[in-house]
Order: sequence, then structure tokens, then C-alpha cells
Amino acid sequence: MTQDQDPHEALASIRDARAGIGRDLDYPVWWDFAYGGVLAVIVASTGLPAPWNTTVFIFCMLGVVLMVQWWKKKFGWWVNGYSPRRAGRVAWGLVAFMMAMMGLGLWTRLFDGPAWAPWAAGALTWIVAGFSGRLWMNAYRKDLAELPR
Amino acid sequence: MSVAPVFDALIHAPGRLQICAILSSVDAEFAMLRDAIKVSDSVMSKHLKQLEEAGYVALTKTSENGRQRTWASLTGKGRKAFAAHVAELQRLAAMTAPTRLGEGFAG
Repeated sequence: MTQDQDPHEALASIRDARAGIGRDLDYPVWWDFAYGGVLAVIVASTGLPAPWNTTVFIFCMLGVVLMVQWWKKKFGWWVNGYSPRRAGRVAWGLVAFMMAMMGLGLWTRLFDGPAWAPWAAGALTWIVAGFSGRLWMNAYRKDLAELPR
Repeated sequence: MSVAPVFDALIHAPGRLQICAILSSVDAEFAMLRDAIKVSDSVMSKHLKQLEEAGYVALTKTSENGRQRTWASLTGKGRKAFAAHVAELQRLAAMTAPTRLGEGFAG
């Protein structure tokens, strides 16, 4: 590439550099299990009485920090404040799902709902969050292949 | 939100353009950036230093198992400058047709 690259070449090199971030990314399946598992425990813990719910939440956050550190060490990058369009939709969908599942846990704790509700919500979250992690990455790859907005 | 197109010669240089493109979506470690744009350590250091001096990139040094690693991220100023530069490239590209291979050869 030359110093006086034309606008088309420059735009192509931007697209290529961004797309290269996730192009050959091959991360292990345990990441999805762990990611889904941490979110599942957060959801299930909403059914626990205080202070156990807060204690479990803190440990889950520590788990998230360790997972992020592992990713950064292995791949040398981490997502920043950039808001991807497609991946953002997946993330917000997961947040909405988690809020609904946490509602089930709170139902048990605050309104004497069935004891199985937080566990069922946690199990469902594990599955959905695990899959949504892969879905998010696929959406993110597509976002990266475009010019930044 | 639309950005006013502004050409930025510092960003436009090959290498720095790709660095900014990568940092527009992720924070990245020195080695990852160097491998992504296929340059030597010294060239990468020079690019990052220029971007840092312009206030476009923030560099953070972390220590890991006794080894120092440098992480780079776009600053707010860098993000705005890059967005404006991309807008200008798109404006210029819209005015010109892409160059085709072999164009200009008489035979």
C-alpha cells in the first residue's frame, strides 16, 4: 500500500483491518459454557435470601473479570465502547431475557413463588446465554466487516 | 449522528489508518496490532507514538508474569478524528469511480 492510497483503497483497508479482528477467531466451547454458567448463577441467585444473593453475585462478577483477563491474554483485544448494530441487538435481547428470568427468581423470594422457579430460570439462562454468546460473535463479525458508523 | 468530513493526514498514512480502524472497535495489545498490520516492533512503536502525541490514542502499560504489555485504545478525540476522516474518504470515494486493474495500459 502506498502513502497516497486513493479513497477506495483506504476504505478497503479499513474494512479489511476491522474484519481481520474476528476473522480467524477460534475460541473454545468452554467459554460459552462458562459465560452461560456465570449468567445462569446470577439469575438463579435472585431466589436466594440476603446476604447469599449478594455474595454469589460478587463471586460471579469475579468470574467475569477472570474470563475477560483470559480472553485479553489469549487474543490481545477486548471490545470497547463501540456500539455494534447487530451484536447490540443480540446483547439487548439477552439482557431482556435475563431480566425476565430474574423476575422469576424474585417471584420466589419476595412473593412465595415455587422453589423450582429460580433453578429453572438459571438452567434456561445457561442454555440461552451460551448460545447467544456465539450468536453475538457472529453478529459482531458482520458488524466489523462494515465501516464504523 | 453525521460527522463533518475532515481529511486527517496523520491518520491517513498506511499503518496508522489500519491501527485506527482496529481501535475503532476494540482495545488492542501492541503485539496484536503489530501482527494485524504486519510491521516490525519499531515501526509499530513509531505509529503509536505519533498517534499518542496527537492525542488520538491512549497507551496503557500492564505487567503480566513479569512481562510488560502495552494496550492501545482510541481516545474521544481520536474517535472523532477517525470518524471525520472516514466520512471524508466516503465523500471522496463517492466522487470517483474505483480504479480497475489494468486501467491505463494501452496494450
